[in-house]
Amino acid sequence: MAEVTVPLPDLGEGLIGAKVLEWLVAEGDWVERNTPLVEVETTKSAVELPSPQSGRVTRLHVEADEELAVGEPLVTFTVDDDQAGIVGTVPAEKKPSRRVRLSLPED
Amino acid sequence: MFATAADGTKLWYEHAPGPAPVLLLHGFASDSRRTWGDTGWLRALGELGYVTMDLRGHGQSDKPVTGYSPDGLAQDAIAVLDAAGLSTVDVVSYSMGGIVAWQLAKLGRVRRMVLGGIGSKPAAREDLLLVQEKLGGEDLSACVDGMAGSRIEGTAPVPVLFAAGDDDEFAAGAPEPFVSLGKRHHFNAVSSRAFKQAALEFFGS
Repeated sequence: MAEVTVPLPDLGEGLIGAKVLEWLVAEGDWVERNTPLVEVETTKSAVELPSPQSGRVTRLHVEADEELAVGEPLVTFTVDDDQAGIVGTVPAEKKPSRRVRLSLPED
Repeated sequence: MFATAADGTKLWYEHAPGPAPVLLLHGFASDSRRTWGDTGWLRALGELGYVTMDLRGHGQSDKPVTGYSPDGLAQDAIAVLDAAGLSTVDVVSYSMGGIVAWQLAKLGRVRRMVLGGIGSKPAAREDLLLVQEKLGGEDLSACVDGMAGSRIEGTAPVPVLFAAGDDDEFAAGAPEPFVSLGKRHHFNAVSSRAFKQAALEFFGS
């Protein structure tokens, strides 16, 4: 098992931080990738952030009503070791690599 | 995708088909992406399906200088529903979108509606200008002129549910049936999980 910490992502529009409105998961919860994780408020609007990955929530780094800056730790997950490298990326839908048989034609 | 209004205005919309698509109507000086996309609504409605649009003057839709009355905007919604091939739909709206939803219901295209961030008082010009100052964006004076003074009036022609944050002064005096979205104000209530759950329950899913 490995721990993966997800920072507050860049919310665009030049915003440098946000305030946590409401956590939609709790420590100890298992979440699937793309599950709603937290609602945050910026100076312009409210935004719901989906989980960038699957894993067990081990730590919420900020409480409701607290502010944090883009890049600061938001949430830590415990994930299987083979999941640890894919934070924030879309898992590639790899086709199984093709086996090429190198036998000579029988003729 | 774009639908075309009666006056030729191009209206941006997106249709995610499903068993019971919900039409989403955003508020003044916002757009579909900010009101329904960033807030997780499209994710929450994924299984029902949805049609979401940018009202004229907003987002990716054309920005003509006329056509901004409640009836004009409701006719735009009808153009979008027609383009999407939908007769009557459930509707979720926020703020000024509720006035459009109300008119659309009078025109017979709404099954049930959940109106967020709106009360029974008229959309005051100074409130619209306050919202524009907060949200920014392009000149919307034609929309202000067309919508100022409008309100939801009379008995709802279809089943309706109101929802707003407790600190939302624009939605003060929202009629029953009403769902509180807790300690939220006009600009941070739309993403509320309570709002989404109330709508999904109201639509019976």
